[in-house]
Amino acid sequence: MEQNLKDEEILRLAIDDPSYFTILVDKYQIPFLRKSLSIVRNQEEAEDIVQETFTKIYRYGHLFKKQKGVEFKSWGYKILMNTTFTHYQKLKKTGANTEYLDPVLYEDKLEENHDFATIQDAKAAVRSVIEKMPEHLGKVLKLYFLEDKSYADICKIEKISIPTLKMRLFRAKRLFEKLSADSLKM
Amino acid sequence: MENKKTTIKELLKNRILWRVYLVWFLRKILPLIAVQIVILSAALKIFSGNVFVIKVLKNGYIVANAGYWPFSKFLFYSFLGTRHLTQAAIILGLAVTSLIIRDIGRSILAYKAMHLRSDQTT
Repeated sequence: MEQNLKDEEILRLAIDDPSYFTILVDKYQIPFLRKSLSIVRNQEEAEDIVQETFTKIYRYGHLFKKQKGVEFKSWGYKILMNTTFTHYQKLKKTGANTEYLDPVLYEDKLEENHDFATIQDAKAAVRSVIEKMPEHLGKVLKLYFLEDKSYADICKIEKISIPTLKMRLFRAKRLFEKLSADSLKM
Repeated sequence: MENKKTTIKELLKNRILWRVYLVWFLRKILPLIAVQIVILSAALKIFSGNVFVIKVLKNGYIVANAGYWPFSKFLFYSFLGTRHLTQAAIILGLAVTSLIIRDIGRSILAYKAMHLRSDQTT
């Protein structure tokens, strides 16, 4: 019976009976560990991050509200990524060995690590690629990545649902990668 | 190799569950027990201020030798002989003590249930 419960329901039950949380730990422990390991490249650090992530999920579980298109999984991964980056920043400050950050994620943190001119150059390059894209795809990409708008805000602007937005962003990112690769070849 | 992986997984899982249990205990149980202890202390203070405990124990010891029934009667009539405030303090103290025992029991059961479920899912 417990196998049929959704993650959100399990989390709700776990607030009163922590034994239910075991189900979520079993389900997400390995994927979380793999993800954080791909960023920090250190088993012990990754384990600490996963432990902290689950503790945060439990502590703030009562604040999680199921919304259309927003699932426990994505919420959990968001906490994991935030915890990982916070951890990574701490490591960097203490001078630990942190040069193994995943290159893709390193690009995500570009704005935090580069000066204003570099950021502007990168944004200009991104804009030029976006201009080549179909309007409906380019616009969501621009709103999400360049203007830092939330899903909810973009949905309001575009008058679309969150699943549609996610799909559109996915397609836009794929096209963006393709166009970027083409422009590099030229 | 597979065994080592399982052990690491288990160790991490136990660490996570222990932290989760602590969060649950600090959030759900500790505040309750703290409030209950404060109420119990107040009840005991009222009780000790109105009852000469040593005298009651001495009398109780003498009656206890006569058997359970006289001892129960002694407790009941002693209770009835006290002032209303003391009676209220005794009832409150007993109620709060049972709540503390219930909460301690809940904590132990939750801890055991956590590990039982953990063993089942492994």
